[in-house]
Amino acid sequence: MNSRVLLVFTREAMTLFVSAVIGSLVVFGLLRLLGGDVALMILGQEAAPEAAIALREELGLNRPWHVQYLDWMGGFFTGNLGRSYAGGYDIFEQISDRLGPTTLLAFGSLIVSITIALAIGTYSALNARNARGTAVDVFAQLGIAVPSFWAGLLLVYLFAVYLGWLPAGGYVPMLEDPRASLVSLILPIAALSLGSTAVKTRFVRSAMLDVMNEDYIRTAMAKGRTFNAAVLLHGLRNVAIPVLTVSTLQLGSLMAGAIVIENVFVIPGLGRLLLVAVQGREVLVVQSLAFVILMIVLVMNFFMDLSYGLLDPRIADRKGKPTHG
Amino acid sequence: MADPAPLTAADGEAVPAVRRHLPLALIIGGVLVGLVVGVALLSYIWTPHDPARINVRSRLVPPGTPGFPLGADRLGRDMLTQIIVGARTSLYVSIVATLVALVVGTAIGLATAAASGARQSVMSRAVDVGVAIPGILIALVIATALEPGNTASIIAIVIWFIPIAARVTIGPARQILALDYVEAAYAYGRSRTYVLFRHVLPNISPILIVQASIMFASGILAEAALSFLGIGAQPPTASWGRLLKEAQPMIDVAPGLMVFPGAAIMVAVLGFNILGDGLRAWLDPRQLTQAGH
Amino acid sequence: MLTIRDLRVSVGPLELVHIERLDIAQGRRVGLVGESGSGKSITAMSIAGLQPREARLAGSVRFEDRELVGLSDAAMAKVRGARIGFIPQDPTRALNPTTRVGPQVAEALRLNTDLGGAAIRARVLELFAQVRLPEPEVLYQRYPHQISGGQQQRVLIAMAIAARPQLLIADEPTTALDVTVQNEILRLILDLSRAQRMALLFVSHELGVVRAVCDDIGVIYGGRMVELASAGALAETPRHRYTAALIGANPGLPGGDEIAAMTGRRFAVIEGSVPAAGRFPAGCRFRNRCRHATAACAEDPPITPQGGNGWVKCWHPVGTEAGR
Repeated sequence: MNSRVLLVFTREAMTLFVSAVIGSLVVFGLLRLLGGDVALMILGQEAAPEAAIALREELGLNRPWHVQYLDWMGGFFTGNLGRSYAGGYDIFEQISDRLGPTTLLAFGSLIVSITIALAIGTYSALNARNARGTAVDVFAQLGIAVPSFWAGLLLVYLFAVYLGWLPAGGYVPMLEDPRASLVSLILPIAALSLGSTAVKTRFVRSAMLDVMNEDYIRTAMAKGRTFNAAVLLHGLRNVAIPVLTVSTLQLGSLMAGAIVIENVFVIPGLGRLLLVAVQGREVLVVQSLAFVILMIVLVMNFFMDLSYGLLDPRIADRKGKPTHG
Repeated sequence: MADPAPLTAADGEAVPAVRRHLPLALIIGGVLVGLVVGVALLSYIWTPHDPARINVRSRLVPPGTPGFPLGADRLGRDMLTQIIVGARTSLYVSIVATLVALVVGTAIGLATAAASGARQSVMSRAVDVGVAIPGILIALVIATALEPGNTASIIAIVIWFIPIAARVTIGPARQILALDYVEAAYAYGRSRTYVLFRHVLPNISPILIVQASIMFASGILAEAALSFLGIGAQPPTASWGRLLKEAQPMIDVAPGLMVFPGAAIMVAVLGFNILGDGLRAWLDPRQLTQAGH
Repeated sequence: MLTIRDLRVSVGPLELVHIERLDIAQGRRVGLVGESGSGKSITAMSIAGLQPREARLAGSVRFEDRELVGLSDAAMAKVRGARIGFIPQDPTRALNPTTRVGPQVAEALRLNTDLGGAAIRARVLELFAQVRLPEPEVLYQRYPHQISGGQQQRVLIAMAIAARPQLLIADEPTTALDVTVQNEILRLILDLSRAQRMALLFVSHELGVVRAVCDDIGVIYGGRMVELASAGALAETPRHRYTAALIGANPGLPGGDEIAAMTGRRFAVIEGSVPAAGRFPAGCRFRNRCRHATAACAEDPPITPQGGNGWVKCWHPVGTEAGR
């Protein structure tokens, strides 16, 4: 039992580490390959040569690339990522301050979408058949096609402007006022989860319909369960496995959505900071922020894969990486 | 025929007959896509108003005003005109970006599938990480280095989509490469490139066509998101995403401004996605890869 | 104890099974033989309310003075497990892959007995020993994929007999297993039903297997039961033309050689193939493949009582003058 957990943990931790290294190299490399001179990107192409030289000196941009890279990576451990050139703020401090709202938004949305998808998907599968299947399909297609920021605007209009029930934007920290914080998150989470919920619902439904035909459901019935009880008790956990896989695959787009949604609802998270930094061409801020956001995705991925391995006992007994799907 | 009664097979359930019907999705998707493409083409020869003309008298007129069926924005520009011209931007950016990403991504995918053991797993891992990176994040990183505009959007979407295209290619390509006749081609001394282009590519093309349709849809969404964030299309280029960005501050004064651009995005995305589903049903790529031909 | 009259199982307009009569007395072992798709598994499942969800039942299944046809799923669930045990066809798919096997058996006890906590666990271990599983303590903690197919079937048998049901239904319990394991499982089922005086309904496509286990054998063709006889009588003196052909196609069986001699063919072969469901001829369903069919066979044959409680549903049973 414990060795199984340990095995899964070690394997997923290795994956996380390798992915983090590749991801950081991509972010570091992209900025330099596409943008060229970092100092000129920050100052603008028409900057005085002396200013550029001074900035290069100040930010250590004269050093070889691998030294810059390692120094940057080390900064995450020492808490020193430098200062914003235009804003003057400490980058590390600013990132830690803004981690809360973003993770709350992303995690909240993940949990909301999985819960709703399991509920609607299971309900529609159990109370089959065709009519509700079509409804779920239409819901899924619309969910993909409606951009999250448009959904956000529509929700703001309906619930904030027209009905006046909820705030149109802004964010209250969880520790300050938990109730107000939750209220301020309702619309952003709703807008962000809409698309992924729709996709997952369709997925849950079809996975559930497959599971319902499994022999072990009949076995549970033979033990004395009703059909519905058999499906809920024995099917749900088996459905949870593919649903987790899909949720894992959606993490990237969920985070992407969070970046956009923060800008719709003016939530002071990483995405909002990132956009401001991009518009201000703050290369070093963008670089660190991008890596942190990437790490959030990878860490969530790590936990999902971990629970995936723990939910399905067959995974750990297999050699090598589990084959999803 | 005098067959001995088959007494050995297990009691099987009735196998449902395979029914092949013309996919309704293909028709619906085709009509929606046709509508969007038609509107985009129309914009080159005719628009209700001059898209760039600012008109103080029509400022924020509501939808339904004579001459302004969908209303006008805070500079008095006709919404219908903006949306018609916006179709151009959406399609241009998404189609160019998708095609480039598909070509590059497929090449990477094929190379990965054909690579040997250790190299294959490293490449495959890298592609996985690429897929996991939020696309918008990559786009924003790229936008830092580039001037905002359609070109920035295209470059960002290309880099965003390449791993996805590669990911989709690897699995099926590996399946085809494992087939007997493909291995036989190697045995005849055919080069790897020859085998990939002559045998693998034609066999996975149905998957790529379906993927292209779905990627056009994602491309439209991506372009809209980038423009909405202000790092895509810049004024005076009309873009659905930018229209939404401009509508946001006016949400309590003129909510109509944000309804129509969003609906346009939805219709275009819906069209390409449904077309993709229809193509999938019609070309049945799953069956094709299983059979190998 | 179990009395079936005119049980019909249909999906939409299609009638899959029509069993006119089948009785199982207390402690009696009855076999159902037939080819793939003959409806024998559907029949067995329908008795326990385990038929496919789209299937509809009509007619009468009386079990322990209760009518089962028309019971709600909830009412039927109280009978299943407690009074009727069910052993499935493919043990490799019949256990929940995400749950350890011990608790899966414990669930049956929790549902159907008054036992609690530690007593349940003890009883599961006892059951494991009873179905001759090695190291019950170790096995309790195993996941289904970690044990062999034969062991999985033993676990499922333990589950089926956990609440000491009166009737055990075994639906091709050995088909998916290795030949070497098949005999052990058959032996186990036979021993258990004898020891616990459980009635057994045993479904198989192999006549030899059924003969080794059962007292009476019913033969199913095209969703209809065509003959019922004691195991000995069926093999020695089959009455239905289909049964006779079936035995002819199983030349190793006692009686098979005689049939071959009678029909003048060493290896009798059933002409043609089984039609698809819904494509059977009217009247006797076997008549388009029967060399003894006459015009009379276009009418539904009557049930003719034979020796003991046996019967045959045929216009021209073996031993009568008819046809060629």
